Amino acid sequence: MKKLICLVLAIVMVFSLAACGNSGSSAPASSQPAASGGANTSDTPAAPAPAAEPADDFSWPEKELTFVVTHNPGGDTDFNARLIAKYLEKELGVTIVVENLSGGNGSVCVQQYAVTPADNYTFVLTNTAALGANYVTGLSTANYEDFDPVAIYGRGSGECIIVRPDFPYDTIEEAVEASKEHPGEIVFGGPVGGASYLANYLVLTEIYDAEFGLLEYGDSAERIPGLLGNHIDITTVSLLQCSDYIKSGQVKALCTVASKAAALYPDMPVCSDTYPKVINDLNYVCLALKGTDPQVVERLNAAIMNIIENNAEYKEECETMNYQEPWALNVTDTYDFLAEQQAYYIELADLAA
Amino acid sequence: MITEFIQALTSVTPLMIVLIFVGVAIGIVFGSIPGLTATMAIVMFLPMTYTMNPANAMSLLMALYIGGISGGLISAILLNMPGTPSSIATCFDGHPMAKRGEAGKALGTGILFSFIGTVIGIICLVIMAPALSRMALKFGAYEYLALSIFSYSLVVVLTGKDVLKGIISVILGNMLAAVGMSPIDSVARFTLGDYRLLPGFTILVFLIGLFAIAEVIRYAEGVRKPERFEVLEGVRIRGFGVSLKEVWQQKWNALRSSIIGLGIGILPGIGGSISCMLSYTVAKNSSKHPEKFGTGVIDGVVASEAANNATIGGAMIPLLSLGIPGDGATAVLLGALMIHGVVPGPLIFQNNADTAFAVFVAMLIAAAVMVIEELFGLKLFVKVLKIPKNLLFPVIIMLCTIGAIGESNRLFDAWCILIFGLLGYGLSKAGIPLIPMILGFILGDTLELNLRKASMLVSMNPTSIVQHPIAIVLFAVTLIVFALNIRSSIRRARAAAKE
Amino acid sequence: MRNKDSITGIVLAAFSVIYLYLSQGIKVFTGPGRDPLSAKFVPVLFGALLLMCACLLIIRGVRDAKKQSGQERTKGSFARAVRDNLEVILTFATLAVYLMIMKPVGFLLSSVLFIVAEAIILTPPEKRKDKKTILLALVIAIVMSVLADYVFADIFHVMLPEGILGF
Repeated sequence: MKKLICLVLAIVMVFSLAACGNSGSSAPASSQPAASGGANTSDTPAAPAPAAEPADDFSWPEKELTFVVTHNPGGDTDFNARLIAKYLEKELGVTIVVENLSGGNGSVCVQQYAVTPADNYTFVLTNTAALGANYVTGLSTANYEDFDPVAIYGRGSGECIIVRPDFPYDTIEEAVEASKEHPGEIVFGGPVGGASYLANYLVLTEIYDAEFGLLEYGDSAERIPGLLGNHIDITTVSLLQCSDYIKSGQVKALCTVASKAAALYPDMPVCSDTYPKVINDLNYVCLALKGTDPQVVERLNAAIMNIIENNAEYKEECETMNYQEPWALNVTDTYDFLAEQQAYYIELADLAA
Repeated sequence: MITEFIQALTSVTPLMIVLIFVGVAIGIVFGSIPGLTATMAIVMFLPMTYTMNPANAMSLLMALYIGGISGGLISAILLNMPGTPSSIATCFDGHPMAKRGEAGKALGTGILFSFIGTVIGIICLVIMAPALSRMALKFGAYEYLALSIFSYSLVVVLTGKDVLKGIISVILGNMLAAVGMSPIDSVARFTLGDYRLLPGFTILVFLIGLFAIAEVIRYAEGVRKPERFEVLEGVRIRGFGVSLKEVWQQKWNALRSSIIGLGIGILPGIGGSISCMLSYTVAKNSSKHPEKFGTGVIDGVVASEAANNATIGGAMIPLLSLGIPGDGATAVLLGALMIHGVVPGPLIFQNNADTAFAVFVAMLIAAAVMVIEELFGLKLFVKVLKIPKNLLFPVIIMLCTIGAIGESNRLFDAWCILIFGLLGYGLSKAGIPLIPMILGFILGDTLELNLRKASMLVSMNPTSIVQHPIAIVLFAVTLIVFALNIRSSIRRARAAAKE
Repeated sequence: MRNKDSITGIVLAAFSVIYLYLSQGIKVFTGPGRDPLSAKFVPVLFGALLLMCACLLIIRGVRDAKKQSGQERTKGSFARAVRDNLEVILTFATLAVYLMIMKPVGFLLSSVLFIVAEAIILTPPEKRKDKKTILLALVIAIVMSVLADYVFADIFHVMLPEGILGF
């Protein structure tokens, strides 16, 4: 027993020394951003005091950042977050910890962080479809205005409407017309009440009078197996998920619901050419917690823009893994873009009522 | 398939072996501490793998996964607290064995059959992945519904003598599972306007509160009473601590449990916690002496551990061949694969065959390393029983708190542990069994989701069920088993009344 | 004539009534593609089942109590019940306090305090005042808390609360 205590005390001393070493260097640093963060976390939405000062003593970041992703690993939101984090680490010179807090298509995370005080080191990464759709359907009580947007940092290659290879029709128009002749027979698989529901199924049904049946397939990972297993006949999944299936001939893509065809599939029809209101662009956005120092927001945005515009490695990874071109907006444009997206979803939500 | 496998075996590097050794060890630590899970271990090490090549990265992560799932049996047996949700059922017989002084035997059995389950899972993965995933494709709402109802029908076996209280327990589990966002339409239920309850209660919080806290409370009750049990553990443990004859007796149990575990793993959306519970329940149901289950028979440990480890192999099948994660841990592995440029799906064996087979080889090596490390540590683990409980338990509660906070980075989950601890205490005082509640809780979402989906199917086409033979067979099996159970319960009641 | 089962039954019945009441407020999705059952179905189903079972339990409890009406009911007072279960109550209370002070005081310090307090509670009364016990508890508390804080907060970046003291 005594030996155990001695050994343990020795270990403790070693660790304490190590811990002291770490905290010693970061203690003065962590007090500085905390102080400015503290000033900003008061309830008044006033601009922080040192805004006018030049960035002489602006030494952010001094410790690791935390990116909280609103969706699970394996999906495109998480993938893009980790990708940009990988390159931002080199840009900013600090570690970036990427965590996932999923649930309710991102609404759980968004609502939790909408009321978390800013610390200049925590950011929420999500996609605009989730933000907008969750807010207008009432799933989330928080939206982009509860945060300080940093940047739209990417655009997804979009979702495709896919069917099995033996599907008797080759264009979305033919499929919609066929559904009118045989209502309910062609079964659409998608989330009942989610963003995809709003933008695809609902628009086709309410505006263009399609008569697809609807079966709940909320988890996008289950839609391809659902299709292949003959449980559903038509569905939308992201290009990232179905690309290999298209290449191997296991599914057939009718069209993309993005605003333009992805670079890798330039010949794929665009749904909005036939049905103008069916547009579902997925944009990835980085949000800072409300009250974050505006200099921090600008600095992070600048770092992101630098990667998007100048980093060839990032461009290559983007294109190979995501079939998309790098794309980002500055802070002001980001704010406007988010407002536009929300208006778009409010319009869609009226259809569902 | 076999040739590529052997090729991957020969390209194993010393670095990979070191990574696997370290990964399994850390995984075991995570798995054995209640409150920390295999999934957490994988998540925490994921960033460190970014700079590694895909084969090395996956070796480390698979080692963490296998070590983590297996490590759960240690605390389940020694402390009656499941280290991970996949080891709940191991507590039921493993801990009574430990209380009787057979901790070494229980641990040895658990380790051995964990290994057997893992290997069976890997073999099926390597040889039959495409065929099995094609079968998994056929599972839709009707089939999942039938499977859920089948699991519920077996609950009668778990309820013990007081059937009414057992049923109450299952219902309570379901009612708790309904808290949060509803499946499909994500409507807030029972959240009292608080966004923090939107995700509902996680299985981790549920189990830690009911098992870990309750165990500490049980100890606290007996602090002042003189007859506290002293664990005798002077028996020398040779090898696995269990005789060859006993191992051989378990062969059908092990095989059946592994198949159940494999099947549950292949079906996305249900994971290790269900496989160990289902396997245990089926084992108890098919045993010649079901009343012995829960008193400390190795059958229970075998059923639970073979199943939860076979689930690992099973969960990798839809992950690799379809790109669908089978459970939380495989969801993270999916992200890991994609970050390294490997897209799971139909083309994985064409585009990234070497990584896929490296994963298989790593799993096999990790399974072997797991046995080695756990066997070596067996004597050390048993010593944990000697640590004074008044010091051990507070530390465990602290670690459980870390685990709860770590899940979603909020203190709220730690409060939930406290609430569930109170609940567990209250229920045990009322004589309501906790085991059926676990089944009700973990199956609640699956049952509701598929019930509602099935209702959509029926409303679209009332006769559609005839196109689903698997579902029809499962429903038939459910009815038969249920009828048999009722009959034997009545018989037993009559026999008892006669005495 | 009451007994344990009927009290349990009453509590469960009350719980199920509250549950059913709260179920009324569940929003029903009315858009296209809705399922016939809605999000209300399963909660109402299980709430009703529990109510039924709770009533059965109450009936059974009353019936059993009648059978035992010959036996003496052990006299108990509230104070006696509290004293017998002191450690249980203290454990829950200590845990609650631990969680409450964690944000202001910080994970490290609150863990140390918790472990020491809980260790003493779990020690048999005769050994509680023993200096060796308290010292050992303190050492283990400090060692394990520091270790856990370092490993999980610093290495694994789990967001363990930092108190006003900054650690």
